[in-house]
Amino acid sequence: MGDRTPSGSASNTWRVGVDIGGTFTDFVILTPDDKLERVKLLSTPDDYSRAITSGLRDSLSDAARAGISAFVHGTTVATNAILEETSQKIALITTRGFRDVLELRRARRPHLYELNWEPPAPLVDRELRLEVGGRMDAQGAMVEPLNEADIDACIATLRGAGVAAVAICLINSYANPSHERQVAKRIAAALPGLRLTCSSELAPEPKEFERTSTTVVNAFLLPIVHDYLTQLETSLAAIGVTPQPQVMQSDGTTASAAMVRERPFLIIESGPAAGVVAAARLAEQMGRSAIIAFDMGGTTAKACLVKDHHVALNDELEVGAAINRGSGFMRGTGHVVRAACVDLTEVGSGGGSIAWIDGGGALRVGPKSTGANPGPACYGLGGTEATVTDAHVVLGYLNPDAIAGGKKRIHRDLAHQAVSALATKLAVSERDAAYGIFTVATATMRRAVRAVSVERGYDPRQFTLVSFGGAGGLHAAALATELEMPEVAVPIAPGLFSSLGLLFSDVAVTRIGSCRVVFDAQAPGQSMQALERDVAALASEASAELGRHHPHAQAPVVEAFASVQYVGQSATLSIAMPDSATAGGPTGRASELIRGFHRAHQLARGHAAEDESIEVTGLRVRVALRAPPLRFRELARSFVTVPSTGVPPATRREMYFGPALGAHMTPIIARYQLGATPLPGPLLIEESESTIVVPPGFDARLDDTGSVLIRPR
Amino acid sequence: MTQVQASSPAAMVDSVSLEVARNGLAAIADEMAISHVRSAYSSVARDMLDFSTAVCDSQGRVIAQGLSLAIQLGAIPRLMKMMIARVGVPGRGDVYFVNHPWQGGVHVPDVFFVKPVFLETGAAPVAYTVIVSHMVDMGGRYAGSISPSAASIFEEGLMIPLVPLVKAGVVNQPILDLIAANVRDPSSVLGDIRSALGALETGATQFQDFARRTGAEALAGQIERLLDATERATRAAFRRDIPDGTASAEDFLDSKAPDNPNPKIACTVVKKGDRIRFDFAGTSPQVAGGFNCTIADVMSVAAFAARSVLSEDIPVNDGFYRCLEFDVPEGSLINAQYPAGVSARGSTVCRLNDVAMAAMANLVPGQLPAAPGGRGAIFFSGQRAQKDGGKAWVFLDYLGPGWGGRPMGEGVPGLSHPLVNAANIPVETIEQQFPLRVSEYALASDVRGTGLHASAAGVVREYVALNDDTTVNQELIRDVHTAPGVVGGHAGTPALAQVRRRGGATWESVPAIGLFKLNAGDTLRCQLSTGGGYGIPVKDAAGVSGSSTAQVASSAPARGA
Repeated sequence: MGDRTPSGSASNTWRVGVDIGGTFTDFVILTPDDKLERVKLLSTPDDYSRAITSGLRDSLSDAARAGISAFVHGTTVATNAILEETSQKIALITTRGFRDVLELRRARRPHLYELNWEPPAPLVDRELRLEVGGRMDAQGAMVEPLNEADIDACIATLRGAGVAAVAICLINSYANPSHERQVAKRIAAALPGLRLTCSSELAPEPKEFERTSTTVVNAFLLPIVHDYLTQLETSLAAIGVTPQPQVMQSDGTTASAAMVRERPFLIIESGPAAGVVAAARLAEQMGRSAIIAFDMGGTTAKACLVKDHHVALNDELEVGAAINRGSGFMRGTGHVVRAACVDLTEVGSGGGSIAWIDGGGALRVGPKSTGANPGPACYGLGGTEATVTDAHVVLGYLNPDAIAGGKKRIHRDLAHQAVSALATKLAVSERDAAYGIFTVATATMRRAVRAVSVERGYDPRQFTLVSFGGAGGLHAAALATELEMPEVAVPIAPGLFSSLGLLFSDVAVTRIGSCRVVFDAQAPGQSMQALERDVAALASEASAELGRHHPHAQAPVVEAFASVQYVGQSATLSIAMPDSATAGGPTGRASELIRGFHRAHQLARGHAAEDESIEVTGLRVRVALRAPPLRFRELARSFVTVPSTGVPPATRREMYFGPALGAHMTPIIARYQLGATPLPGPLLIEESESTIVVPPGFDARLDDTGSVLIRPR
Repeated sequence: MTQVQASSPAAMVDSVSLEVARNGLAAIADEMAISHVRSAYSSVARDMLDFSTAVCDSQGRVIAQGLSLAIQLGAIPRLMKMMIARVGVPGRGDVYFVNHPWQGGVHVPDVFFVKPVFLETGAAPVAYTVIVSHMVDMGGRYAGSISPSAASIFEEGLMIPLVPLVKAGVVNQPILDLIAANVRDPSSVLGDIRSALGALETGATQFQDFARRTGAEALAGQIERLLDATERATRAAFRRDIPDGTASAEDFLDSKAPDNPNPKIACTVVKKGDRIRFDFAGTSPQVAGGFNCTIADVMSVAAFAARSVLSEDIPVNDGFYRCLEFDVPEGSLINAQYPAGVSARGSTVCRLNDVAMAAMANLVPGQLPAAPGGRGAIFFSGQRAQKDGGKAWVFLDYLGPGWGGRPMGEGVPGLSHPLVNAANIPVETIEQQFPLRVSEYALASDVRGTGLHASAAGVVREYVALNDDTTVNQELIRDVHTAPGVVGGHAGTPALAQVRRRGGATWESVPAIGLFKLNAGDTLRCQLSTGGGYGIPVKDAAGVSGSSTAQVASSAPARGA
């Protein structure tokens, strides 16, 4: 087995992270002496494992491959399967009277004025949404026994229906799962080999639409992810890579392939989570307790808050959803999945976002994007509309000849043409139009950052912006200015930074449970003990699961969170359960939990009602094997080095920083030319996979993690 | 493309600052909405999202609206006019509130809160943050403070004139005590009020921050330009997206009022150049009972009808409202005069919207869906068993009827009425909180308005009472006057309600719009009306059937089948 033992022993083996996207497969390989190797290959969508094996074969010797101790990967296979709505058939079994819950959804449309909005088609056809009689109430008491004849009728329908999996979700099963289990058992006996998944196993919490949708998504993914992982394991074994693959989950931890086969709904946000984990690890080593991770790519920009090195989590996501507007309120465009996920906000503002002028004369950017094809005008692939990347070229920020280490040619004249057409319409100069595009794009990104901070009760002025992704360094200083953030850090390898997170994520199993414990003012200790019993049960279940996949691992770390609200409210906050060392026994722990809730309520919602009773409605327990530390200081050596060809001659380019700051002949340097002593802006740091703009009025220096730190002077 | 000033740098600054201001102000209104949804107590606010937020400038003009219900938004300009006229210059730390329908409110359960926003210096507010939240009960004869049969406003609950709830940062506790003493579920109501105050504060802080960063004067200038630009964009869009012409539509409301059980709602839309006028002449006079509405709601409808047909994402603010013109007969069903009952105005406003949209559809053929089914608003109330605390309980269930057939396909099932866009309440949430069991929530696939593109299938919800003496006060709208079809589509099906008494085998009809009691074990089955069909059904066109009745065949499977 390929267990990653907790920190210390990782440095004598090879660790491999592979991030599979629709276009590229990115590899990061950590060598035994803490060097990082990077490979980028075109993906092979007909069989993704082909690119993986050929990449590993080409870059690692047989001996090195045999020495791989961890193979971790992020994949969009789950999201793609849903987006492409592969033709596979699955079935759903519900309580009698509720087969249409999946289609009725939550009755709300995401856009008030778009009357032609179409919800995503249900993943289960109506004739395969089957019903069984029998009923639990909200307290878990049986109201009506399960009707076995109904189950048999379902079995008759399922037999020969050619379904690949069956989702089972009964009303109130979060309070009592026994009917769901009986249904599964009877079907399994009659139709051995048919894949089954029960809602009470995946998301035992109230709200039937969300739980049904989650279970259906899991059922839909079961066969697809199973086949995918099997193929991957076979291919890896064939080239001598023996550890069981780990897969990045939406919450930024990883799980073994065997576990993911049962619970594929956990890996939907596999890709974006990794970058946030890397940012959290970087913050730890930089000694920053409050950062906002910001990732800007070709079509979107994403933000996530990391406080005290904990990645902010959300308990729900939508798969196949449109990009939201930078607010957590726009729901309903995708399939709802209840699962812990990195609390990301995404806006349609990336390098390829198109600039346009609306009917009121305002300059707008995005959300329409040119995508990879034709791409920005300056790519010379036929695009004619001005994009954010074209603005970067006109402003002088992007190398006018080529980017991506010389691999991507830039047609400067085409960028000028596109921006100039827009400038004419606006009756402004070309560079003012370009700066306008830059500013409006930044304003949209500002909204994404506010959504993860201000909307959650945090003040961005107390946070460092950790900016990565290919375009992250271009807007970081401007964005920080807009939000009055005191500092920007652009880490090493910004273009591959997300993949780094794969190498350093904890292995974890999470279990959730429903409960209803009202804290008794007279005997809070008793309420606390009741909760702790539930936590212990969930923890032992999760530990057993973890132990099955990692039998040789050391004792895992257990973290527990309670979903707490004032009695009568219907929105909980997640509060860490106090650890057993808290003074004052159960009563002391109870008052710590209650205090923690009042504080969190004050922070997130602006008020606290300290004389009101509180109740706990759910628990989330995470059992984790800690990953080895991400040693940025050592890694930085592979990045911040003088090339063997020597220091190239100094160059300058004219760059434009807007009407207020004007145009400047700006020095262009490489990252290694920065030192611990701040250099004044304007300055441009150009590297093969990214560009960092340091505007006038800012200083830049390098810290010992290899990050470029930018601060207002 | 647009009228753009020639002066180069200023034009650029304008184009960019407009977008920055629009984005920044909209974010504030959204942040208020998120704050409220996260800390509200009632399922009405938290699950159904029956509330709206807005930011207004120093003159009370709407400059941004949050993600909220269109049905409430049009009331805010009227409220702000009254606020400024009555209060003049409010003080620092004040919050005013009102639900009085002729002093800025719309009906008693919708409580509006207004907070003036001050900067560090200056004696006058620079902005106002506004939130309106539907309270689960505000007292009065009927649980939920809504009833078609209320004889006048005095049966509809506790009216709050425009008064300060908070003065110089200090909450006027006696007012809260007064409210608590008058409503059926004081802890939900006071919890939602507390949450609304939190949302106002969130908005105020964010606005102060925005003003400080931008500079107060610069921001005021940007707001002025934003409103002007919105007006320009709106007028340009009117020219571009709506052909000139005049179009009318009318429909009848199932009011059950003794003086006029079938009042008419009529609307004529006159579009010429960059102007649009909504004329409601021909609408019946106000009726006895709670089905009237105030003129505030007409603004919501006109704004929604006009905005929905525009092809551009134009913000709905004062600049947009400026472009709308009305003619609303005084004393009519939709411009009712004090002290008319207006509590059940939700159903009237939805119908008003159906009519305005139908008129609009005649101007922009091929773009708008046929009318949706009528909404289902069902109030359950009673007293909890002694072992469960013995307190009064009120539950408002609000069901989306599904939409009419659309130009590009069938209606979307189960969606809330277009003007409302409220979420449904999960069955499992209902069962956790109230003495009810829901035994079905499903689509009746053989019930729909047929057409080339049929309406969505009918929505059914079935409830079992767990307590004796459970009162039901329901509005399953369109039980007589069904949703009309468009361009040859058939009308929708009517709403139906039936009860099966405990232990019984047969179903008896109960009024779809009316009040009755259930005892423990009784089952209430509500089938909402369905929307109209869009286009001539294929079999009609082929001459197979010319039936214009709506109750058609199981030949039309539900979506997804």
